[in-house]
Amino acid sequence: MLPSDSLIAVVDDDPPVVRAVARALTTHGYRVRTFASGREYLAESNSLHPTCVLADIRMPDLDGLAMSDAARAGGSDVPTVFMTATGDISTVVEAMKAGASDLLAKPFTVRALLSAIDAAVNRAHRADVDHRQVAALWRALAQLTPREAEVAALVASGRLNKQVAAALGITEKTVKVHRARAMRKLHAESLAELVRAVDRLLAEPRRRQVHVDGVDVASPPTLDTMVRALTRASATKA
Amino acid sequence: MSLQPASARAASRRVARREPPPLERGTAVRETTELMAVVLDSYPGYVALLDVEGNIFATNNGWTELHREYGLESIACAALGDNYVEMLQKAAESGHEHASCILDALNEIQGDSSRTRVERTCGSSDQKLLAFVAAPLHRPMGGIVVTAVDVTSWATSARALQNAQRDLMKAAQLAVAGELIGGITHDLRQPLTSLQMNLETVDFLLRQPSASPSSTSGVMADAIVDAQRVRDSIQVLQDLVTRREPHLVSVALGSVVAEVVRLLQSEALARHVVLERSVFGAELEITADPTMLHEAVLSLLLDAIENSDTNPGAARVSIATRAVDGAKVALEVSYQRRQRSSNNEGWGLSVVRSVADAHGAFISIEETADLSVVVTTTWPTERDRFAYSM
Repeated sequence: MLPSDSLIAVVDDDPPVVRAVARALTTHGYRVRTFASGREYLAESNSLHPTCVLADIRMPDLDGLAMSDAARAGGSDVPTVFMTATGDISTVVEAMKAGASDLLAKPFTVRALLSAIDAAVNRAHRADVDHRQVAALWRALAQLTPREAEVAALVASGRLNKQVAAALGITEKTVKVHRARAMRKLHAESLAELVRAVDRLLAEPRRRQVHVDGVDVASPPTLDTMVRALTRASATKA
Repeated sequence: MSLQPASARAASRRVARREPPPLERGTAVRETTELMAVVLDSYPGYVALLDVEGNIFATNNGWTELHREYGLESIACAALGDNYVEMLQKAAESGHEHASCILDALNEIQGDSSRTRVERTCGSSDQKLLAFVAAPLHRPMGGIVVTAVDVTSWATSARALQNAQRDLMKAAQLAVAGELIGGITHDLRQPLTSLQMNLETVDFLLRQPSASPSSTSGVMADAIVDAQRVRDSIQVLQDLVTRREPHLVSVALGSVVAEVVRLLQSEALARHVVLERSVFGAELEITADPTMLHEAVLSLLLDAIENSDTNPGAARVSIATRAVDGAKVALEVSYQRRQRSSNNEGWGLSVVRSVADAHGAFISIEETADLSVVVTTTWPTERDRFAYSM
């Protein structure tokens, strides 16, 4: 991934620091947007979609930690690198609690800055890949009927066709039809691929939304159908 | 008009008021002695009445118990008329620690004829502390009443309170120092960060094959500004610890005082001191160095807060500004001192004196017998700036 693919939001109330840090990042190929306050950044963060944020902790009005909290509360999971000119233990603890990707104690070198930004960008990239995979699976899952989703979940859990038929009160032949349709819609060419896909879907059953290319993708109702089918089957078995 | 003789009239008055008949002389003396014993025994401390030569002519039960407790049996059993001082001397000579201690206290009392009351705390190996008080007996044949009060628990509490106050003061000072250091560190780290970034960026740009002076000149200009910011921060640090020529401008004294009072409110609150500001008349302006003036007002108030009596109702530091004959402005800080100072001037007031000298101002300190202190600094409203010297 090239630095130019990443957009870094630099937030600091000290203009010379913002300018110098932004210039250092730009020189090394990153795209940069600068903000003089936490509020200024929050006002634009939804439309900006930065790859990562570099924010000073101590700022008037809204400090970096509060800004990060507010962004998270709004659904953002952009990695944040904090900068601090105080560097006491309590600040480090607070930054870690706020989910800091890294914490830079001022003054820092360009190498330390780039290292922290690279790590945050990689983290953001991994998260982006994950989000794309989840979004693709959700889109595929949305094509399944509730019955197909139930069959897919029970088959992927290791149950035989006749066990699935008994659990759902349908014939084994009908199960086979639903299973074949579910595999086709989920782009699974084998049972192993179906199991992997369903496992990935059910890894975070409470996740409701992911952000891809500036668009929010919501989880389909069939995901809940899968979860309910598995819960019911487990209860019956017990 | 009655024709009865005087004795008959007195008798009839006694009957009318139902008074008991007058006692025989011997009975009256005996009753007075018994009454005195009851009164003495009712006193919770330890009391002995001595004549001018130190002979005991009355003690209370507490006194007897005290001497029994200290193992001074002979003195505890001393008969009326025995010489207390001699008995103590004998006990002290035989190596009795408590006797020496009590004797020292009495010698101190007797040796100071100018005072009617002397207090001395007597320590002992079992950590019991006694406060001795002596007062003359106002009667023709003279004498002295000696009382001892067990102040062990009071002294322990007072010491604990003193330690707690000292710890609190130290913690407050550390907190103030911590905030100051934190602020200075922040002010230094900010420009150092941009300086580091700019210098490394210049270095990076110069290493590029396509490096041009124009691409680096803007960055270098910023680096120079950053270096200036660092120098300014260092100058602030230096100004805090070194004397310098005052930079004179017109300063609203009331605003400076208000700002410092606001800054110190939490410090005063932590020490249970009420910090109040009074302004008489319009806003007063003086020609002064704002930083040095802040420093002086801060030192004045901190000194007053630190030395204030913290007893409820007494813990009050007031600062007031008022015009004096049109050409001067007086800044008065008044408070009740906790204890009499040895020389009226701590480190804080030395700072004030130094700043006042640099501005051609005067400082005066008045301390009354009841430990009320008024520190007055009188500042000229305008002065030839070339006349100032450090």
